[in-house]
Amino acid sequence: MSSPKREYRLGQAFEGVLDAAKQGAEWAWASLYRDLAGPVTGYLAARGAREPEDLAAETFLQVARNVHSFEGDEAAFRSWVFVIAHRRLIDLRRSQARRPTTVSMPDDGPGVLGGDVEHEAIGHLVTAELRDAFRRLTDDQRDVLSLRIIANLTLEETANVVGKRVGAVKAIQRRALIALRNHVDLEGVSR
Amino acid sequence: MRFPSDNKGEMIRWSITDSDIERLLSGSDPEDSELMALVPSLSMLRSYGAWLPPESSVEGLASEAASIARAWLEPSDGTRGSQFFVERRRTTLTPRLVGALAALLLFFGMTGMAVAADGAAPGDALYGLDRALENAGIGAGRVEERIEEANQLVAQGRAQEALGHVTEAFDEAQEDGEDVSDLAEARSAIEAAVSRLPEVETEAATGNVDEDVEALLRYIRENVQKDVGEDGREFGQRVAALARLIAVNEEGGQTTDDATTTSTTDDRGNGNGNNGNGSGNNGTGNGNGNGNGNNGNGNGPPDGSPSETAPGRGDKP
Repeated sequence: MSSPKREYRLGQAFEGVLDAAKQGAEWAWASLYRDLAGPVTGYLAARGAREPEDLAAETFLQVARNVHSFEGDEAAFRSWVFVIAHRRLIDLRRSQARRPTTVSMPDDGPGVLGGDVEHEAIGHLVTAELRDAFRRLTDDQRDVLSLRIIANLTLEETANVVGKRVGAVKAIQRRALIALRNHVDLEGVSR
Repeated sequence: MRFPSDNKGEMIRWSITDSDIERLLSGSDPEDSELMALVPSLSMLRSYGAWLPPESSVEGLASEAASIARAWLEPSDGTRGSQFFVERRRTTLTPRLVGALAALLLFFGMTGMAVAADGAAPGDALYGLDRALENAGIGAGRVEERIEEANQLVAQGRAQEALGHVTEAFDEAQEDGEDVSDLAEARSAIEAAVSRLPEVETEAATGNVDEDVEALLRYIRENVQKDVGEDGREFGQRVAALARLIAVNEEGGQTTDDATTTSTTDDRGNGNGNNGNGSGNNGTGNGNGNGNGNNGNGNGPPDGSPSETAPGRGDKP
């Protein structure tokens, strides 16, 4: 892709789109959803949601319920959306934890990078090695890496979403990368 | 590239700087070679965020979200109960969508990798992904994807970039060895159609051109999804015809006079129909295609709510 990482899609149009969204204009919501459905769904899928698209849609409807109280720019909006998505994910984890399968990522359960059959298939295409390496990370590490990479959030935004201090997130991502590097090397992902 | 493969099992504790980590996490190449070895993996991870939702789900969700937002604004009988009856309906993926999703993810994964890794390490990984993409049977995923992106760009008032995307898609199709004689013609027709964009944009006009291009892109997208590949020639002709009509349209009613654009829009609608494939295409979108010339409210259903009659993005910023 040609656009730099932190250049948002809506750019200067965002203010107008947000305004229209608050007024209930469908085109504005379509625009926001087109922009964010990918990262949100990807984040939820990578973090083990069984039906990430449904959860992403629920996230957006939650956004719609609260959008009247949101003030801020596009970066803040994205960050806010992921705060909501992350909360949904936490709720989901809690409910899944009540089931017989273990807390985060059962080895023979839904794929580490995917929550359901469909995404599991993608997970296989992505490579079993990466899934395996990812699986070995802690929940915190997976959260942070996913938010940094899939959601493309900044360090500060990520800290905001997971409710930790910036320094803590920095340490988590460093440890995550080291762990990933060890496994990637051992498992031969980069071969 | 060095791999400490001779000390397997040991933790790698290389000294890495925060700024190098930032480079890696934000998609650039890190300086540290150990971090560099993670680029392919992180690119795969990054591809999870590149998925684009199918238009049908975008429309469905936009409709629900918009009505929720409206319910807040218009508390009917003193309560806001109306916002609660909107229940999220289940969207289960059809196998076809799953395949498309996989292809999109893979496509973006490859792109990200190709850009990020710069040929350093991931050649083999790329090859595997490439094969997987082929096996997924979405040979035209690239074109389709670009056009979908172009459509989004137009929706955001960035029609020039959209044109660039379409052009690129056609170029890629050409590189892939498809018969693109008609696609090339279509491209130049599109270029002609949007050549007036700068002046329109500087005049801060109401975005009629954008909407026309948007309609064109929707047409392309919907038809690419239907019959890619084999029917490329006929498809190209249809696109070219549609683009010409848009160009004519802009010649006549470029300053968005409702009266003039209405008639030319009708012409274009007929043109669509004459081309044998267009009668339902624009109509099956979210209304932009057919509505863009009428009163400027191409978007959303005409339910009478004032906010819904606002024209596309053009009026807001």
